[in-house]
Amino acid sequence: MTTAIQRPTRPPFYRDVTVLKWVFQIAFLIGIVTVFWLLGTFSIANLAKQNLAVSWDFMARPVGFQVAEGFTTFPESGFEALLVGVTNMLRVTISGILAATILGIIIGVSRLSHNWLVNKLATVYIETIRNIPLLVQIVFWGIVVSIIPDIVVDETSDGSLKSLFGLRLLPEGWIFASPKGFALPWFVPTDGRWQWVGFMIVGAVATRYVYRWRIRLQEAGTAEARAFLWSGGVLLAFAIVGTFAHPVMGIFGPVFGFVAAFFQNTPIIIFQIVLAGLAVGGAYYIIKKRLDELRTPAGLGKLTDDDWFRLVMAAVVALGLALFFLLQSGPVEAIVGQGTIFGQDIGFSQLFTGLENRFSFVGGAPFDFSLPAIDGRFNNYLPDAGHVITRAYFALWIGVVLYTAAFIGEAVRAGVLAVPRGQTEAGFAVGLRRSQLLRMIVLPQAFRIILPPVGNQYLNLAKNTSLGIAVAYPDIVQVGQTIFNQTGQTIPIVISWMAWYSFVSLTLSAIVNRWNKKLKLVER
Amino acid sequence: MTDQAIIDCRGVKKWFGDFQALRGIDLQVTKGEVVVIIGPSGSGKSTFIRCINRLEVHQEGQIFVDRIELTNDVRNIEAIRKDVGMVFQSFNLFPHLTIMQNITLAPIWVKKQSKSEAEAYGRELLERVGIPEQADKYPGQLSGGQQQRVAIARALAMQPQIMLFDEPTSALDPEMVKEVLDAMKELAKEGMTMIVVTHEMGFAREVADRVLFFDYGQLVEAGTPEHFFTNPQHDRTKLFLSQIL
Amino acid sequence: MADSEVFVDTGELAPEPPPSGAVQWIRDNLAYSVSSTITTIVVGFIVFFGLRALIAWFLNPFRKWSSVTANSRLLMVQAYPDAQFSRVWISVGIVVVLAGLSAAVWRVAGKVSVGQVASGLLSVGSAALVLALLAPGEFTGGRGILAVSGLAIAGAGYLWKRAKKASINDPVISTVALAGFGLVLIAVFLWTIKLPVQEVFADGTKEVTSQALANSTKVPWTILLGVLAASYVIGVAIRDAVPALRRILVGLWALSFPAILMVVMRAPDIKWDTVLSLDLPIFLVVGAAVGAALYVIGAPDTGEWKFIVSALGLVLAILWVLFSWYLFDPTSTSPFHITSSAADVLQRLEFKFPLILGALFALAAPSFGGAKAARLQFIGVWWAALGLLIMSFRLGAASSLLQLSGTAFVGGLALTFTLAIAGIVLSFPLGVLLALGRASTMPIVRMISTTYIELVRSVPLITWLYIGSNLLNLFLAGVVDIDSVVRAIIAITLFSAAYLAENVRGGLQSIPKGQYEAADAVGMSVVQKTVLITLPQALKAVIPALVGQVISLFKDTSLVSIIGLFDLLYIARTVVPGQSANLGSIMEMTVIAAAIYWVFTFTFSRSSMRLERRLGLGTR
Repeated sequence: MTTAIQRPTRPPFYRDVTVLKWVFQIAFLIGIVTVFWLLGTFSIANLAKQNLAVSWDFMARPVGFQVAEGFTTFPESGFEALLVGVTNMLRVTISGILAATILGIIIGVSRLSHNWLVNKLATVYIETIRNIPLLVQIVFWGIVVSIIPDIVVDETSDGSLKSLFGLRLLPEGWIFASPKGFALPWFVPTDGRWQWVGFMIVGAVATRYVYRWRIRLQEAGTAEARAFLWSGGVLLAFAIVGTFAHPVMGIFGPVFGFVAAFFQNTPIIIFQIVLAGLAVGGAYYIIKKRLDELRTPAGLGKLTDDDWFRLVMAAVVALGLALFFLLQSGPVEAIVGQGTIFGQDIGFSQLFTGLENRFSFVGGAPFDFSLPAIDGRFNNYLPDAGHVITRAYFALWIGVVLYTAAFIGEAVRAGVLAVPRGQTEAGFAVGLRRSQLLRMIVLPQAFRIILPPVGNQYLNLAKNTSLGIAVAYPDIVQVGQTIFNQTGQTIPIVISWMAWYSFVSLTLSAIVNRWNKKLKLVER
Repeated sequence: MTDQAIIDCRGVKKWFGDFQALRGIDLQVTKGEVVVIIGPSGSGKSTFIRCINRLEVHQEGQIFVDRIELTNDVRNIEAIRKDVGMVFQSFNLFPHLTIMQNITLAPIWVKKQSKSEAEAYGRELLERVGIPEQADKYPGQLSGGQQQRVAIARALAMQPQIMLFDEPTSALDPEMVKEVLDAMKELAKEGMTMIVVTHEMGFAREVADRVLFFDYGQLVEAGTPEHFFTNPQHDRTKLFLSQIL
Repeated sequence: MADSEVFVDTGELAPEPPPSGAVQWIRDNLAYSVSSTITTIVVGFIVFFGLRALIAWFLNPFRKWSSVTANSRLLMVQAYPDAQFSRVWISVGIVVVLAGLSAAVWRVAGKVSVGQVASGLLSVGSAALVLALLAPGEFTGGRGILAVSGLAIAGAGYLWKRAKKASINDPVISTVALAGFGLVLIAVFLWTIKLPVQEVFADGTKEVTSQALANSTKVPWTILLGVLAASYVIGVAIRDAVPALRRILVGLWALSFPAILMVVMRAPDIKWDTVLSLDLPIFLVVGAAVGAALYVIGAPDTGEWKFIVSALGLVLAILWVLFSWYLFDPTSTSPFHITSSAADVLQRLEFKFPLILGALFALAAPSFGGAKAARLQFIGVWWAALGLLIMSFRLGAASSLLQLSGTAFVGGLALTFTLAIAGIVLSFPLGVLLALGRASTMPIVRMISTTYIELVRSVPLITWLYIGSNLLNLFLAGVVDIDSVVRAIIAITLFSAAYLAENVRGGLQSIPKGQYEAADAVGMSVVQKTVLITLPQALKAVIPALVGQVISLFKDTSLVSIIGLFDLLYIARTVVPGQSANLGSIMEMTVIAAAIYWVFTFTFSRSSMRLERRLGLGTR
């Protein structure tokens, strides 16, 4: 019954599915590249007409403007100015995420409350906040700050807040409120803080082990875990001890110094070879893994065109990178710290030198308690006294926090409601108490559902901090805009924006995804 | 035999990753023949009939349908798909279209028939599978058995020479199995070439011209139903039949 | 009961009403435990004082609400010329007519039980009463009226509810009757309400007086209310006679937006001699030539050459558009080598785009041609698309007869709507293509689509607006000046397309694999599969997500105020508080702007929930 098997006849190329598919893709790629090439040509030609050439020089040159707030208000270069913008953006983002999470959980739980008043209040909050553009809200809070002294500040004093609605609150000079913002007493970090932070990192690692140890005990049945209590206690102990014992960390100073010297003194060609080797090795690993997945008893002749594309892509990218590292010593020098980038010394070597300097310093308390103060002539807050919350910072922060909390609240509510009722009933049936039920059954399941949308909201919050420009908050967008108004270098600024925000998005989603995956693993 | 074979498979092999689903299948089907494929799940029987209209791409060997070879050739794929109708386990009706639209969609757009022509034939087909009154309903409003009969009508609307059935009754409630099997028997009586993957041994015994037993991606045993159910030769066939009968 | 005894219940128990009453309600909802009672008291205090402070702020005589009433037109349509103001009313009229007809055709009318109406009255009246009681001291005049009317409404609602409870049957009222009653009520309000209006005298002093609405406001609105009612009645009358009405209305809605924006509001200066000498010939010649080609290519079974010819045609048409300037004048470095206005550029492209469109149609012709009737229908679609394309070129190239400041578009709330609707409509095709690209089996296409989507989504909108307002002009600097609003629309479109693509991709993923297999098994081509099977199902599945995107886009348009466009927020925040008569009114204006945004967004989101329920989505 068997018949001789011939080789399948090949159809003419214009009828071959695989050929057609790749011809179309290559045509598409050529089209896209052409459009971008044309746009590039036009803009370069047009810039040339205006006697402007695309250049990154401004990154190294001094800028002619002052930044309203940040780790320095007189940046020495365009690069530093953008760096101030970046740190300002991160400041709002991180504190905003913390506050919005707490408030969001409160809102979400209130929405589920049986208490009619609490429930309705949360509903009104969500429906109000969600349906008004965030920009309008930020503008609104900016205006509120500018009129707040009329309402709460005792006019006869030095401008500090003593009473609220007739209630005497605090000693004079502790809290200030003015159209320029607020100022509070605060623990101002001093030089010892780096050592203290190092101490706390060790503490965090220790805490993790303690937590696992308690969980193990619980599982072994020898003791009740109280894991949170234990690990919290350990962390607190480290914080307190660290306040006095932090100079111990000074021993790490020379270690960092050694690493810095290693980066500084090793010949650059070694780094070039190592990086090129990493690129090739990575590609080899990827290709090998893929081939192992695809290996069939009949050999590798069964690769589809997609498989080929992937393998070739990986190889080409790796070889390109390797060649780049080998032929171009400049970027490698910049990365390890033997050369400069945009006129800045910011490689690994400088990083470790900085760490060495900060850790080798032996002395003082990590923090000082400091009260706010006012510069008498201009009525400005002194930036280093107490903690100053500027009007712009406050408006942006409260705006994004309230806005994001509304969405997080909805996500929390949806997540809790999505846990099937049967789970609760089953929990009661096996005799769990209400608190145990929440802690052990409902919350872990709800958390899995809540995490992806909340992660999305964190991303939105990070992007929404760019609206600070409406109240002149100097984040990377506002600083960048100032720079290109001055220099006309739109394209480099736009590229910097894209690079920074892509980095933030990728990092945040990587964190959320990792967490998500971990939770999914627990599920099995 | 090869000369009249409407389906001619020679040494068909197929892998999913490193799992070999088909280990060289040789099969010739003549026009008007009803072939029933049985076998344990994972034996490659569904994969095999899905290769015949290129829902899966075989990697080695040759498949000829009506003497057209299945290759990467756009023209051949088009021609073979017009010639081969398929009925799926889970019906796969288009939920956003009415029953009549489901049936006439392919004749109008693929076969380029006029709408009135396609609808007239569609009505005839619905009559044949016994649900002429459901033409303007949506698939979601029909029972499983009715949906599967619509799926048969949809496949027939292209006037194929060959019909493939991929476990057409497995997703049905027991009381609906009979109406679908009846429609299939009717079709067999009319002389349609059919390849049926099924677990309905009664159907195989009654209608099949030939029964094939697949296991581990191989065609283990083939024969008339009589031979198959009374005198199976291979140990694996005996084991399988003893488990299900 | 002994085992042998048989128990038979002969009497029938009447159903008992659940325990009810105000005390029971409080016990159930506010004070069901000690902690809940404490919470209620604390939160109650906060709500009480918060509300009181809020009301006090709103009713404070120092509030400059007159800046709102004096500038209401500015907020809505910026400085639209008075002489042409009827165009604004016509635009609103178009929307109102379509809304009335749609309400009738989609049968939104329902029934609501009297009990629900009574409960509604009860809560509205109670709210008014609470408001009157909470209001601080200065508010003396209105308090009595508010309290009395609140009490009256609440009392009526309560009595009605009691009466209804006594009767056994539950009577219902048509929502149409209620809506009609509401319309009459609004009309009455329009003619009786008095708002604060400020007058600035020659010596600089101001006086705020209460005045009735001007005739130029209340007459058109009254007419519009009448038109709304009339169009609903007409819709009810014809909805059974014209079965295709739903499809016609969808088309009209789609057309209404460009018609309002480009024709009614903009008053284009159309050069009829160009239309006759250029547009009409292009339309006829290209239309007929491509039409004939489509007739041949669309014929069944004419072989593969038709794909090859149309693909080559498409490539040539695109190359011609991109490089014709170079072919004809190799010394030139730009496609627009003469400094020219946007109108000139459009004029020059008018020849070329119809050819690209024609080539695309030719590619699709084998999929959608066939029998003679189908081919003719397809050629009809081609003529319609060509006509729309040429018309949009002509309208885009025409200058406006109106004297507007700076841009060719009206500002205010009208601009907010323009940006939101243009953004979503224009981003739709791009978004769908990107979604298909990302879900495609072709790795290069998938990579490019994914890169675009992820890059655009990770960077905030404000940076895209800056890119639009700065880079777009850089690409074409000194060559063609693109209107600032158009630049914003381009940026918003490119931005929103990435988000839309992700939504549509969600829909694509929700389609079971069997659907593709079934389509393959009957021999459909990729294009047919996409247009006939995949997209209809995917789009239906993502309607709620798309409405959500419209809402967020509507809010996001406020960002254009940062790049200096005169949208609602910019006028409220910068323009009005800058007027000498309205200095210091920024808080009032911002609050009003927020309220306007809120009303629209809230309405949208509520209707989208209703739509979701109607589509039966969101329930598993």
